[in-house]
Amino acid sequence: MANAQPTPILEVRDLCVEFDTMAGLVQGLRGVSFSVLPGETMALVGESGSGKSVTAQAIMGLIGLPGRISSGDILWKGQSLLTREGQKAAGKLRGKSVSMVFQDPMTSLNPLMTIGAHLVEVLRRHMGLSKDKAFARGVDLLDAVGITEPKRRMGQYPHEFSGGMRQRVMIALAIACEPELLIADEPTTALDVTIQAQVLDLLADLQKSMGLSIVLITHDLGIVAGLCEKVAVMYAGSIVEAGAAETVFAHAEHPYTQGLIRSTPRLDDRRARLVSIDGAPPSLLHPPKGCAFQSRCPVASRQCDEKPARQATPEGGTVTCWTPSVAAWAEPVDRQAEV
Amino acid sequence: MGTFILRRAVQGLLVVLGVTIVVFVATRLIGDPAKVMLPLSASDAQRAAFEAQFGLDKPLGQQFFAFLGDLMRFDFGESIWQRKPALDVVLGKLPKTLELIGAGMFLAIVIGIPLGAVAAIRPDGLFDRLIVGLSLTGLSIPQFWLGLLLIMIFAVGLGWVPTSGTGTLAHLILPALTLAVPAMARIMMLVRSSVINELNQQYVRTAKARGLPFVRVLFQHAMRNALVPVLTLAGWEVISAWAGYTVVVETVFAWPGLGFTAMKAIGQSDLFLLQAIVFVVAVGIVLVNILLDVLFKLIDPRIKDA
Repeated sequence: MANAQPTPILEVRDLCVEFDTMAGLVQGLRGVSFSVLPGETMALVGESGSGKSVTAQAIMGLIGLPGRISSGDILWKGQSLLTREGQKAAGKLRGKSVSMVFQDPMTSLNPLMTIGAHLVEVLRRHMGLSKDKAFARGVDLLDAVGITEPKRRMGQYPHEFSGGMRQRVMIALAIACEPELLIADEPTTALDVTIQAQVLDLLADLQKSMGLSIVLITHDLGIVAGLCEKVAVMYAGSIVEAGAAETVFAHAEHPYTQGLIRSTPRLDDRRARLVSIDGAPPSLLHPPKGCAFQSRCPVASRQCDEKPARQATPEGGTVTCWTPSVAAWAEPVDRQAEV
Repeated sequence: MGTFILRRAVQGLLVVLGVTIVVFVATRLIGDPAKVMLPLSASDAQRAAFEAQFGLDKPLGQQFFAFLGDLMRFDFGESIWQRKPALDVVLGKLPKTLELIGAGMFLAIVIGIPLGAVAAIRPDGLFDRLIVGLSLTGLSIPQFWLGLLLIMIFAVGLGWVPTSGTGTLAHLILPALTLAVPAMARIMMLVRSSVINELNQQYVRTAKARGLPFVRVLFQHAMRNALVPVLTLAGWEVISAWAGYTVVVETVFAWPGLGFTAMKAIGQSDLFLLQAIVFVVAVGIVLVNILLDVLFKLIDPRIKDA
């Protein structure tokens, strides 16, 4: 490589995904682009239905009927995964070089298979280990994700594990074959708060010790700040703002990002009232022609009827808005007197 | 596991006892064997002698306690129709019925499960529609009519197999098929919907995300889970064949098994033979249920001793 920039391990270019439903064509993703460098941790943030999980599924090749990737490209170390040869290569990457941790650990394991059988299965398939070696490696992995008495636990079934422990098992399965990229789709949403912190710490430790790249999908901005270097904010199937996590939090350009940050509960300021963004995201069955956030945006104007172009921000990120960096929201009213 | 089976066996014993008592009462209500067995011209003295011979002249209460005592010794009395110990008659017919059920259920399972699973891979695809159509047809055909239709086509028309009777594999084909078709249809439908359901489960998606090939995801992961409800149905099929459908099929094909004999026993008001048949059938049902419980425990680790 001639230029100084290292090749991104994963690059997503203008990805569009459609779902052919009874009601019509739902545009799940409408031109998503981002890239992840080796060892980098990126967050995909957005509310439910914004396309975070669809993005993850598209990368993992898990978009099944009635969905399909209609345009755009996904590149692994510069090679497209959507061409004919690329799909073959993707089959080999999946579960080995790219792995995924899902939202709900309670239903993500086969209830009729022991934890050990799950681990041995992937280790034999991707690492070509013998049964005994795979079992020994499985014990080490359970130990590495902080499960005590790993040897005994290998013989147990998923229903004998708590939610947090199951998520640790899912992480052990995801890192079993030494992946280069881990996609974590709301890995802590189904867990209670103390377990959340433990699981996030575990991910951060693994990221450091294994040099993993992580794409973390979440709607929890608190998690992003603690764990991620980069952040991309999704709204209605596209990325509306992206950049270094610190600068996005400090100088949010897009009114939606500003609204999201404003609506995050603050523990350090007890007087601050919890605020929300009024309205609901647009239907992706008939998405608006112009800016998708227009109907909820306090500073929307007539030009927002046209689709805004993506532009660079002074801090080195990107934003897709006609009027970036305007302080879109009035300061929340102090309602302390009412409490 | 040992105590589990033992507890189920004791429960089963109570069931069998209860059923037998109900049958004792019921058989006394269906008719007077003296009237059926003896010619119309028989004298009152002859009738009285007949009743005395089988103990039917005693009060019902006394008959009942004698019956209970005999039951403890597995003595069901003598078949009025065959003039042989009733239990011997039943046990003599048993292998034929087991052969028929075995062949029928084998066909239903070996054909039903794979076809249902393949249909589930692409719901609403061409193959799936074909399978659903076939299943509905199989479910809708009355069994006795199907039997007669098969006889007309393959035995009378084409002459490939005998019309009725027993002895060779050729004799077995049509009765087994008649017994199998509705069961196969039900199993196919359940396997299909069960596999479709499992393929949509989160654990299947995570298995795919781990890069496992689809064949392994289908057989190792989805099918094992899908088979839990199918096992329930298969058990039900065996029991209803054992305690019902074989009566129809054996009658249509004059298959000399338990069902055919039961029909005859009812026709002849042979109380003692009927009691023995019901006893053996009840024991069979209890045994199948115990076997099912053991299989469930082996397949699904979540089922604890109950």
